Formats: sequence, structure tokens, C-alpha cells
Amino acid sequence: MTNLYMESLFIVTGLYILMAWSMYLPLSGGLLFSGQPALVSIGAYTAVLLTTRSGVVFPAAVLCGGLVAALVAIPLGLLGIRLASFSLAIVSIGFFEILQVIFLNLEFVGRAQGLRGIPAFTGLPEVWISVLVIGFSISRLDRSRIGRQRLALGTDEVAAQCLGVSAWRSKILTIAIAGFIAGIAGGLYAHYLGYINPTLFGFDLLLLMFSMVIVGGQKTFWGPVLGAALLWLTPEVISFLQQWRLLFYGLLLILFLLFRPKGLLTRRGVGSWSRRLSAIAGRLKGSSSSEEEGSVLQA
Amino acid sequence: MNDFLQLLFDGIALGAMYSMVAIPINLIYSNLRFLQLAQGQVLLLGMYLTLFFLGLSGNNLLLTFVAATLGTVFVAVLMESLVFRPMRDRGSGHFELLVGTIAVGFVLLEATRLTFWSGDARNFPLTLQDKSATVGPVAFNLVQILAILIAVALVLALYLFLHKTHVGIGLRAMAVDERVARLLGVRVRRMALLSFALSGIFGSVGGMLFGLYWGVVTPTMAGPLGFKGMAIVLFAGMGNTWAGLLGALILALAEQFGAAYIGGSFRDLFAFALITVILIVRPTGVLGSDAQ
Repeated sequence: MTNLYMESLFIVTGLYILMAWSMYLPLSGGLLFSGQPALVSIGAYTAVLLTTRSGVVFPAAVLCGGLVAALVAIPLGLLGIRLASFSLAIVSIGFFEILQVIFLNLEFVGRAQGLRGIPAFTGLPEVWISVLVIGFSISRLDRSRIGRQRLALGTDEVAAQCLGVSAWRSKILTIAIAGFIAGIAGGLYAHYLGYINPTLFGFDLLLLMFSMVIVGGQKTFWGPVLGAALLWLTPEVISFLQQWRLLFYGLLLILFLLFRPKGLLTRRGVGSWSRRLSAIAGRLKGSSSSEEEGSVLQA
Repeated sequence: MNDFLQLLFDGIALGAMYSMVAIPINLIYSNLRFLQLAQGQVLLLGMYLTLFFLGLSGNNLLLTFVAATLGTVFVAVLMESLVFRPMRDRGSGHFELLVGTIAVGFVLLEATRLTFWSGDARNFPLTLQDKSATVGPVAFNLVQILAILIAVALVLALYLFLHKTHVGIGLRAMAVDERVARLLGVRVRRMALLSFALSGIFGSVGGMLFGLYWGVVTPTMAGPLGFKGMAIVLFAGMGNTWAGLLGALILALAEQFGAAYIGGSFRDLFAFALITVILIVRPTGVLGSDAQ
């Protein structure tokens, strides 16, 4: 029983880490994109329809969910990036309000009832393999040309463009990748819960995703991971918070916005820590090699 | 034709009520330059307070209105002085303020839900729906008439306040250029508080009207209402006093006619369709920004 409980805790934490990353990617590129709950729902509905109605194998269905979400994200991005920065936020919030209305009114996705009886394909290994693969890809991406262009745009858009970064291409790509990750998270989430309905992907989820990224640190790769783990696990451990979960997230978010808007992990903080770590590692390596030299000399 | 007139009248009444959400969002945007996404929740608070005080005062509408307004104004001023002003003081950007308003909205919603009622639908003890009349082909009830009259009166009062009084002119000066206004002796912080106090008044009036009109209150009403208010502001043009009323009328008419001729279940789509079209065609809104 407790094992099952621990397992479910880790599964959900992994899923929220994925969602937090899909929020982190546009934010670190200076894009106020907030349509992720909608993209999660698109991934979830696509994957579920594929596995239950068309009999597609589970991993392929989840991937398709990710791809469809990415495809939906692209026109949203195209619409949003020609506008002032916060119009994109408004358009994407509007988009998920509207998607909820559509899901609530379409017969073949079960209206308000949603879809039930989804086979529970998602277990601990599936989630954490996805987290590791996607996390590794993001960390590689952040060091690649594409990732550096994104981070440069997030720091100073005009300066980055002067240096020849195509803001347009980078932004579309970022939103598409974020959509893909959100879609994957949605597909996995649906096959873990066993049911989906439109209310799962509403403002509550957006608040949670915002809180994770802002509490953890919106400009670093590890920030969303920390935020997701912290925010999901705290009410689980301190059980009286359960009922007050949304109030807790809202208050925490306000406190962080007021007193530490950069979040727990900042890019400078992480940089200094990784420098310190590599310095320690270097010293260890240096000392061990000198020892070896010493032993060679002694010999 | 009769249907048309009925739809037109219902649309105008609904538009008058929507303007109770749109006008404060617009006012705060023009003075403080951020979109207040928690206005729907302020209105929800107004609705619940109205319900609460109606019970206390034995359906005395005037007493209830005064008490509910005091409550919403207090909460709105508290929001500004505890959250938004400190955030602006430390130089938070658009994104932080936007997320801040969403967070405040959630806290307000959850606090309302947890303290007042457990989240079930509540019936209003007092509905004015039954007090209705028919003039020619159009049937109307007292709430609709009340909504139209109050909306016109409030907008007119706001207009006179902003254009004819010393304080109001200071508020508009701040909307144009905060620094220069400050140099000329406008008390900028007080003006910001005033904007929020006004938004509280609109919240309680709007909450009362929607409560009486629908006859039932649930916490889930806040989100869509706030979103519609924002859509109206984006559609009509930000920072323009009359735009709030005009945009609200257009959205409400679009919803009424759309629901009648296209299908009722998709009526919430129109708000999004409106802003999508307008943002593609004319990103500054129909009346343009800051055309004061």
C-alpha cells in the first residue's frame, strides 16, 4: 500500500516536472506563453483516442499526442509573437478557455463526462524514462546553438537580433518544443489517471505550472524540477494542506513574486554552484593525480 | 422581427452587466499599465457578499449594497497595497504582474469558497426575475432595466468624475505620464488606490446585478467573467473609458445573436473569436489605445 502510494507520488512528480519544463522553455526565451494546460489536454485526448479507439500501441500514441500538441502550438505562436509580449499570454489563456468549451460540447470526446476506462499503461519506468530523455535533450538543447539563441532572446531581444538571431524562428521552435513536451506529459497523465475530462486542464493546472516555474526559478533548467518536486510533494507530506492546496499555491506564488521573483534557483546561483563544484572536482582530481605522482615517485 | 427585438434588448442588458467587469479592468490598465485578471473574482466576492448581507438584513437591498460595496472596496484596496504596489515598486515586469493578478484571483476565489460556502451553487433569496413586463413584442424584467440604468449612470458618473473633478483630472494625467503627473503634484499612490477602490465599487454593483439576474451563485462563474472582461478590453482598445461599455455591448450582442442563430452551447467561444480576429486585424483594438 505504502509502496503503491510512493510510486504514485513519484509518477505525478515526474509528470509535473515535464509540465514545468514546457513552461520553462518559452519563459526563459522571454515568451509569455501560457497555453500549456490546453496543450496538455490535446496530448491527453489524442493519445487516449489513439489507444482506446484505434488500438495504436501506447508509446506511439503518446508520441502522436506530443506531435499534435506541437502542431497546435505553432499557429498559436504565430498569432502571438506579432503582438506585444503580454498579448501572447492573453491569447494563449483565451485559447485554453475555448478548448475547454469545445471539449465540453463534442460528443465523441464525452463532453463534461470526459473519457473513462483508459487502460493504465503509465507506470514509474515510463514516466521517468520520458523525464530523463526529455531532460537530457533540453539540457543538450540549452547548450546548442538553438538553445543559446533562445536564452539570448530571453535576456535582451534587441541585442540578440542585432547579433543575427532570428527571433521569429527561435520563438516558433521554442513554442513547438514546449507544446511537444506538454503533449507527452498529457498522454502519460491520461494513461496514469484512467480518466480525463475538460476540468482537469483548466486554470488550476495553469496556476500550478506557474507556481512551479516561478518558485523553482524561471531561467534555469533545474528550477522547474525543484519547483515541481517542492510544490507537489509539500501538500502531500503536510496533509492538512491538502484541502487548501490551491490557496497554498496562490499564496506561495504571491510571496515569491513579492520577495524573490527570480525563484529559488537563479542562473547566477546555479552558475556559481556549478563553478564551485567543478573547482572541488578539479581539486580532488588534482590531489588524486598528485598522489599518484607521489606514489610513482615513491615507487 | 420580434425575436430580433427581444434578442437586441437582452443583449443590451447583458452588455450593461459585462461592462461592470470591463470598465474597471480598463481603468486600472490605463492608470497603472497592467491587466487586472482578478476582476472576475472581485465580482464574485461582490456576489457572495450581496448574498450574505441579504440574508443578514432580511432582503434589504440598499443596506446590502452599502455593506457589500464596503467589503469589495476594502478587498480591492488591500490587493493593491499588499501585492500590486510592492510589486510595481520593486520593478516587476508585465509577466510578473500578470501572474500576480492570476495568483491573487485564485487566493480570492479559494478564500471566498472556503470561508463563505463550500462551493455548491447557492440560490439568491431575492430574485427580481418575476417582476417583469411586456412592452410590444419585448419582454423584460426588473433586473435588466436596473442593469441598463445603473450601467449608464455609473459610466456617466465615471466620465464626469474623470473629466470635471480635480482628482479625476489628476487620475487621467497619471494615465498619460506618471512621472510628469507626480512632478505636477498628483499623488500617484493615492490615485492607484482610488482606481482599485473604484474597481471594488464596480465589482459589488456587478456582483449584485449578476446575482439577481442569474438567481444562483457558484464559484466557477468568476473565471469566464473575468476572461470576458479582458476580451472586451482587448477588443475595444485599452485605456479608453467609453470602450469598456461599447465593447461589452458588442460582445453581449454577438453572444445573444450567435447563440440564437448558431447554437447556444458555443456561446463562450465568441469572446475568444472576437479577440483573435481583432488582434490579427488591429492589435490596438477597435477604438485604439489611449484615445482619451
